[in-house]
Amino acid sequence: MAMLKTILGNLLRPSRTRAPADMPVVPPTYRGALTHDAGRCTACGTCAFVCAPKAIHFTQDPGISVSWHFFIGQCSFCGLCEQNCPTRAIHLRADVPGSTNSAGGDGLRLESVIHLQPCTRCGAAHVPLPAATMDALWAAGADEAERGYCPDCRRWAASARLRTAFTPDGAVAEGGRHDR
Amino acid sequence: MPYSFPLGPYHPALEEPFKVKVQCKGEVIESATVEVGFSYRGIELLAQKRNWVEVITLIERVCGICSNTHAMTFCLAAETIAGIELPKRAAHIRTIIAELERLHSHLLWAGVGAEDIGFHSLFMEVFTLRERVMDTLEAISGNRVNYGMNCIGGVLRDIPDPAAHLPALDALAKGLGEVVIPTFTQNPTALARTRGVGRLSREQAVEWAVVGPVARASGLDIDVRKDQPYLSYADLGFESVVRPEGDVQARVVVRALEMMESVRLIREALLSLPPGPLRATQGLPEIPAGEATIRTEAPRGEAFYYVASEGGASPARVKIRTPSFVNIPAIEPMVMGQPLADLSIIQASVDPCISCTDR
Amino acid sequence: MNAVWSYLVAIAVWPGLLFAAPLGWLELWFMRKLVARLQGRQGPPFFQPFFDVMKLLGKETVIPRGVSRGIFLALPLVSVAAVTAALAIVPLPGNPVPSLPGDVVLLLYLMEVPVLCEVLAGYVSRSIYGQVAAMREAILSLAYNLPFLVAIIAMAQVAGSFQMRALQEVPYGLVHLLAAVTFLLALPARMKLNPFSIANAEHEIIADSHIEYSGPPLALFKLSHAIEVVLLTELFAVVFIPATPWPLVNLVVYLVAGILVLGGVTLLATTTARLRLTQAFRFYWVWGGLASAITMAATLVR
Repeated sequence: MAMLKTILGNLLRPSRTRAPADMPVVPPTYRGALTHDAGRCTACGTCAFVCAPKAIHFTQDPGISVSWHFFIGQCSFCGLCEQNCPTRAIHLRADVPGSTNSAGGDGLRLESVIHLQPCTRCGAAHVPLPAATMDALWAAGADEAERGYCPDCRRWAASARLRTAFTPDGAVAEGGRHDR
Repeated sequence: MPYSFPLGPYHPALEEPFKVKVQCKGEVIESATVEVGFSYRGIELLAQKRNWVEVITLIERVCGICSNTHAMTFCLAAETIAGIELPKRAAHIRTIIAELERLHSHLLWAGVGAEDIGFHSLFMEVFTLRERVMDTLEAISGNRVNYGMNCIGGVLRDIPDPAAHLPALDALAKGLGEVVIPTFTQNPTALARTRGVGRLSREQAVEWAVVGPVARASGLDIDVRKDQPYLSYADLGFESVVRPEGDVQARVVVRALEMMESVRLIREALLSLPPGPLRATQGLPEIPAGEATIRTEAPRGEAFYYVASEGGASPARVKIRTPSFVNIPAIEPMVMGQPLADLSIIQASVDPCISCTDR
Repeated sequence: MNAVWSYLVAIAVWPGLLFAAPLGWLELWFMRKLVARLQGRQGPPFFQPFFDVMKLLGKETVIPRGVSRGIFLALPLVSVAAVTAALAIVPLPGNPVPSLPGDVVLLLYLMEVPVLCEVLAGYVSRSIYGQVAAMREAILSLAYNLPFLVAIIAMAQVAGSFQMRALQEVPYGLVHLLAAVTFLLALPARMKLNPFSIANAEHEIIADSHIEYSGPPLALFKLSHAIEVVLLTELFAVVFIPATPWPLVNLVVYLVAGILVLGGVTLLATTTARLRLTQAFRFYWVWGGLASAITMAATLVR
């Protein structure tokens, strides 16, 4: 009887079949096509490390650039790359992409080139830090020059800063010892 | 004249490939053998070659239906090894996802069961309800099947507006209470196909070591959620559903009432979602050397995980025992002496998940 | 010469192939659409049953190894020929065929031929699924034929003749009602609809007895089924619906009655699960037998 009531009710209601135009609401948490912001990427490799199906890998053009590669055919859209990216360079878009095809090579493979920059001190090519990170680290301070440094020179600069700033607690005692 | 009749590996009654080969005399089944292994993927070995983050994505794909159970159980095991305490909010969210998953798994089962007894209209109604569950899961996690909610130490996504999901639960409870359960338990033709069919006595259930709804339909009151509460089940207060009959009808009723219990659990968990962080740890997980065994109640029964770590980037061993793996052999005693026509509904009544079984 | 022509016209044009096939497709579409709407679905487009047959006609015919080519191809042809010939005997308005004494017997025989063809098709297919389907079909026909034959024979008993025209002209009475109910009882099983869709239970035995058929032979079986649906509904209308003196009105009434009967069995099919063979058999021998007994008793009491 429950079934008879249900199906007669269905007869009076419009069909539940959805038309192509009647798309379900895409939730904001939807994990769609990947986007990569080369300006933020530090080529740290975390995304490639956490990608289970190995859809992401990096290639290097020594001294010139590092390239981030993504193949959608291997992607499982788990979103771990987005979750784990330290500089939020990867984002899974919530808007649904249209169907992709390989005709023009569009959409299936993504390549994003991160250009290396010469170090302003030693000239070694390196991946620059994202602008926002740099702003946070060197907030319009005296060490503005360090912005263009490579990681090695940053370590050197840090070391130099430490050396100049170092005021030993036991400077007096030490002096005393020297005196003796 | 006796003849052998293969059900599977490709058959309309199966969602996934496995094979029940029966020897029949007339329309009566005299003996049966079950074959599995048609979709073996070697996930346990692959898991040893992936790092702790990748393994979660991999383990989630053990099963397409109870995907969350596997990822969640693995994370629970890793958390046990690392001694990470799960934040309360994360435990609630995991419980909600686990119960939503149970709903959609049981609804899928009810649909397949309806289809196997030739009840297409009921199948349509059940799958319309299942769509509501899938929509809810999508709204929370962003995905309809592999939710990707779990990480070691918590969950990746929040439920910002718990009250928004209550109308779907109301619709579900209404649909279950007014259409699905009355039809399965009152429609004379549905009763004719399920009552007294594929009986598995309590003794047989113990002997074949079945778990989950199949065991509970044979009068065995075993449910990890009650016996060894994990996540938020102790806080939410869980009631297990047990039936003594042991036939297909009992399995239908057990699953149906479990769905009602799931709806109640989800509602309470949503309403009592505690504030707090989603994750106990930040960044990539570090799992020290150690080992852990974890049992959880998957939609089909008890899922068992043994995870060992040697402190490296990858787990040293991930052993998965899925509920279907122990339930599927019990098809043999169930179909013995039954008419051939009931083979499909009997094999469906244990809710065999071949993807889980083969891993 | 004239009689030969009238038979040819009856078989090929009206009420035969040329009209019965589209009518059958219309009725099949109506059933599918109604099922879809009852289940809250959109349903197939109007020409879908026609498209189905046309698609099959363009497909390759695969004959399983070890199966006799002649019988494999002959079965669907015989099936279509038999139902068309059976339909040609039904005295629909405008049917050019002269009424023969004893044509009811011929009709009942011809109506059994498609069932026989299906059973044979299952047995020759060398597929275990086809053979189980054939066995089910054969056993089921033993079950539903009890009420089905009794309904027609009761009418013949009342008419005192085995002639279709005589059956049609029986004054309307209680026997009509009882026999109609008995006939309707047998109808779902004859049409292989739920709850008696036992021989074509795809979730148990993958498909019906033509599991090994493909391409044009399968199209012929589908066509045969479509015409059979017309035959069964129109036979019901012709025998059990009182005729008016106006042939055109009769025609409309018959067609509407046919659609109504289909609507009824469709409604039954959508609210039920499929029964087991033994349950269906018991149903027909208990309830079908009871209805048959009452119908026959009514013919005697009258």
